[in-house]
Amino acid sequence: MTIDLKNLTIEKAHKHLIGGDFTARELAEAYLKNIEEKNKDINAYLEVFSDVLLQADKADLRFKNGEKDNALLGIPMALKDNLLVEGRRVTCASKIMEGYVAPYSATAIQKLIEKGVVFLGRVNMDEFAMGASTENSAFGVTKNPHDVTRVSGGSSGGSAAVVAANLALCALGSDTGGSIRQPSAFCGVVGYKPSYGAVSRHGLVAMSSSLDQIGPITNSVEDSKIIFDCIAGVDSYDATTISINESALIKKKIGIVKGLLDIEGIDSEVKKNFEESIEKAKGLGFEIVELEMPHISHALEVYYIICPAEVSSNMSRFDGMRFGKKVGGSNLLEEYLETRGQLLGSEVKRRIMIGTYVLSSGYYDAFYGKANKARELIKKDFENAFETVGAVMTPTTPSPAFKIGEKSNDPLQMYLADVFTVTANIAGVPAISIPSGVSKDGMPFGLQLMGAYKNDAALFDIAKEFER
Amino acid sequence: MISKIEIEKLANLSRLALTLPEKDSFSNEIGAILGYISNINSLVSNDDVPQYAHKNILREDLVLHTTGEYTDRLVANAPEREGNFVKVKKILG
Repeated sequence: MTIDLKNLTIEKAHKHLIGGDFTARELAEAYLKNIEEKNKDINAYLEVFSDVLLQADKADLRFKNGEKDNALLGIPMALKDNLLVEGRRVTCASKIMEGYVAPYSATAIQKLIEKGVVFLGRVNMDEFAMGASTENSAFGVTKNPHDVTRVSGGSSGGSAAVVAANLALCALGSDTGGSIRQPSAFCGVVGYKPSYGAVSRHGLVAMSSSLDQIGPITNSVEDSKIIFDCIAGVDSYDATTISINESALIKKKIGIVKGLLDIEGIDSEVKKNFEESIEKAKGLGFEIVELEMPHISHALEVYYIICPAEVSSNMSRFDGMRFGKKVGGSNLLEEYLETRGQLLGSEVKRRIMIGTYVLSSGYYDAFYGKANKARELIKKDFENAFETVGAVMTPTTPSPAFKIGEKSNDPLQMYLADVFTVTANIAGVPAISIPSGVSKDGMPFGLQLMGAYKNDAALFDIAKEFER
Repeated sequence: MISKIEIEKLANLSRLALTLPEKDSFSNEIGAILGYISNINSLVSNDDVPQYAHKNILREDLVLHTTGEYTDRLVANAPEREGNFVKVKKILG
């Protein structure tokens, strides 16, 4: 049969694979053909693995041996280029990682390998996951499949674009301040950021360790749940991992935050689309509750203190001695300065310097100390909210996908693209972006639902209601 | 905006060699970002918040791998090696 990639989900593919309608090899070939034809239009793949069909053949053998209830067997997936797969290259879309080969696999990757997932290749991102458009990649921007003059979002722009363009059935991304949800909204697909600690970060190249989470980008909520259920779990290699709650009874109340849409720079079409989502929620039987969450409007300031602080610390490992590439100098100091100066991109350098500033002894209390206190206040806002509601609802982004180049010379404007998404990372709560219609120009909108900490299962249940 | 001298000091502390155009653009951009994140001061006073709840999670310092299991893979990623050593510039003068 011809495979209808456009309407395919993991669930449907699995049924076809066990029903013998097509093999894992045929499915992989269909994606490879699409990649061959269309990747040049959007520049999403940095590498297509040479052993894709070999991986698919192994999956087919497992099907032949009667493996039936493993929904991920033979499923073609793309990987954000900051996830380690043993023996394969990883660059984080940076020149400084040139030539790096992963010495081990990330825990999440290892779990997917055991399930027999077929990895198609590495996809583009903002350098070291710092950005909201993939314009910070050392390998060029990934274009939005809905309009190639616009960005795909970021930092997991490659992951969202390949799922939207049917160049992969699903993808993994990472989310530090919205890097899964924002590109998913821009490209019209589903993106999920788990509760902090639900998925091991072992083998994810660190950006901001207290905020980073690995998560799926897919065509449906159920597909995200299938991947999440596989990659979640306590891991001895990541001391911050936690066990999450089983599905609880859904509270049929959804919170909206008072005054949140009054902040400057929210697109009028986004506001209108959000009003429609509120009506949809009511139609689904949810009661809408207006919440006072006085601190979350400051989440972006908190984020742009904590994130660069942790970036400046995490990026210190790139010293020109241990990984990737170096620029030679006449002494040790010169090698540090030139390697980092020449091989890291502007946004990475900016964040390292801001981090160094806010952590310096004279400013530590005024910035980093206060940001950590504010973080507790934001967490408290969420704890209070979830005593009443099952989810908090916001638009995913303040505007649909913007034009390539529109914000690239104004980093502060670029940061504002994360205004609705950073809160979930600051509070550690799970959050999902689901498609909620298109603009007059045909660009997708995303609706964000945030759930209670550790209550990932309940959030999936609520999100599924919206998909009907 | 912050001064170019401050940018140079920060770059040096951050171990980053910057070009002249970078120094110019960073003093504007980083200045604007620092201005924005300074809003944090109106949100939080010094004494009105509970202590934050992060705690250390420690494990026993045990050897989990056989000697040499990862040596070649790790050293192979270094820009310069000599045998099983990472080769670097002289550290002590």
